[in-house]
Amino acid sequence: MRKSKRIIVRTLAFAKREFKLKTRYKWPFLSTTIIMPIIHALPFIILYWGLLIGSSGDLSEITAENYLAWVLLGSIIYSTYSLGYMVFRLNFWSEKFWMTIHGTLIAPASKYYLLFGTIIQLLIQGLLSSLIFFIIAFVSFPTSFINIFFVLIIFVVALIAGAGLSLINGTFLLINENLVPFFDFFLYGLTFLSCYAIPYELYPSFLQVAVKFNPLYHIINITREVWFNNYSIEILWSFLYILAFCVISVMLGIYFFNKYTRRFGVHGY
Amino acid sequence: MTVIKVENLTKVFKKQLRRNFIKSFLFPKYENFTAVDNVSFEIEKGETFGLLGPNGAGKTTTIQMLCGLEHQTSGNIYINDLNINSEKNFRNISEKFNVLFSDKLLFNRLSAFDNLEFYGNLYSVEDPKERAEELLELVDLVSWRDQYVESFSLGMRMKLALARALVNNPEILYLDEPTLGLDVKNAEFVRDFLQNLNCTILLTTHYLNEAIRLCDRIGILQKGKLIHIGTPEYLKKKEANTRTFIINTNDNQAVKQILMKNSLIVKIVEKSSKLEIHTKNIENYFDILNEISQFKLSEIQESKTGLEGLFFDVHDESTESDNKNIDKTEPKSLGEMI
Repeated sequence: MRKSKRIIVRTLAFAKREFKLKTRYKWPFLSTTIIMPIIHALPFIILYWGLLIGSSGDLSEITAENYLAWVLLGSIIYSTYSLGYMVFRLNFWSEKFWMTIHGTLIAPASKYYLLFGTIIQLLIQGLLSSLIFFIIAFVSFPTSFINIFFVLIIFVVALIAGAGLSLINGTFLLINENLVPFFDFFLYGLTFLSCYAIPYELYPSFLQVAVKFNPLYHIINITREVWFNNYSIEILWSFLYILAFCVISVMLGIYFFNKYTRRFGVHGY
Repeated sequence: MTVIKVENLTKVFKKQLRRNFIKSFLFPKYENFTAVDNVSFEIEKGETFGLLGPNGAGKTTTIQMLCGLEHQTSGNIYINDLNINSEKNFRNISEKFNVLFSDKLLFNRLSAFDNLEFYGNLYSVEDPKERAEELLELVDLVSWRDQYVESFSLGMRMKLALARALVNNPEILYLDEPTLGLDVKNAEFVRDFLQNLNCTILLTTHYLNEAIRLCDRIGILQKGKLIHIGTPEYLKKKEANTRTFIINTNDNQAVKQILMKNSLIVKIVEKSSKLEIHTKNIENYFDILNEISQFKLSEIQESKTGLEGLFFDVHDESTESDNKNIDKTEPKSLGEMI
């Protein structure tokens, strides 16, 4: 088999397997894919609707015209990122107790196939959940198709960056579960400082510095800026920042997974 | 040609000492537990080599190290002269072997066909769909092709696990207790199946008869140590010559003291107020009974020696050999001892 074909076949094998495993029970899949993101976004939509409709003032960058799209775009990217961030943690948790993870570890396939196969599956799942949000955002605040295309690229980058970090998280789940809560704290920190539901200007100034270092903030921010057509040089820097973060997280994820699962073995049965 | 070469393989685990919750959380203490202790052996191309041992002897840990799933504490593993510690070597080697664990490596939430197709793709099999169909036919699971594995019986899972292990047509096959928990019919199916395979096999089992029937050579593992390597013929002979019987007398302690002096007795174990006596090279137990004729015998029964008795016997010989200053690092050949 030719090398390129081999790469595609193995990557798609992981994607197909993940999709079949996820859809074995249909209702939990539909619930986590479609209903949960709506539940997450709904309180903020209601909050900003109450604050802005009928009021003359705006809330920082949020206005009565764009609040729905603002919340939904933040929710889409946050949901996508956390979907990626949690994927290997949840998958390896199941595989650890199904005792199937060894099958992947001993197979001759590079772990990049595992990562990108899973990302393909997540992409389908993420797009399914985001489709409704994108449509509502488009109806409430129409934008150009080029902007939508660019937003979709950011969407993919967010997923890959989240999945890369998730592989580190998943690796520690396999070798030492004691370290897993620290990854949760890290995600809580990223979420809190991401401005996915609260505008940047409302943060205290000392936290605004931390927010600027948060890659999730940059991912969410450029999504909104592109959708609302507010192009600036800052967007380019933000994009390069998240691109670098994405590449580093993928490489670190693969490195940790390759090195530590073989060195320390799978523990905790 | 040597396919697998294991040199002084050792695996030491850290075992947490049992303490109360607060102490174990704040000041955890560990002790070392040697699961595999200085094990060396070689397997030739096409040979079926068995690792025989009771639970906890280190069989699975050895296989896990051979598969690259556990990192050895010391020692080396060479497959086709390549050291598997190197990541690059391991990737080359991993296409050539496959493994059957007693925990199966099957996805319960996928169908039998999907499982085989997935692994076929992972191993870059030419036509994974066709290979999956072929293997399902081979293990007689065609009618269960599209059923979720979660609905399979243990026997069917083992058959599917076997098919999974053969998906890449491996040159080397590691089988970790392939008949564990199976009924007689399914166990026979698996044994017949394995006998017809044409590859180098490393098999672990704690069934003596299985090892004798399937293996060209057998290594006996006990508490992580490879105490002997030999042919099935030798073990057969050992089994025939070794007897175990259980007696109950009015003074078991005194009987034990007397019998301990008898050189034909390998071991005496006290089991629920009875004495289990392991002997070697005796035709019947009357000779031994004469020695304890002054005691009142309330019960006597002869049992098959089984693995445990054989271990006592072989281990006893091994210890004797050790005492005679035979090189302790190399496993002794049973063949030489016949």
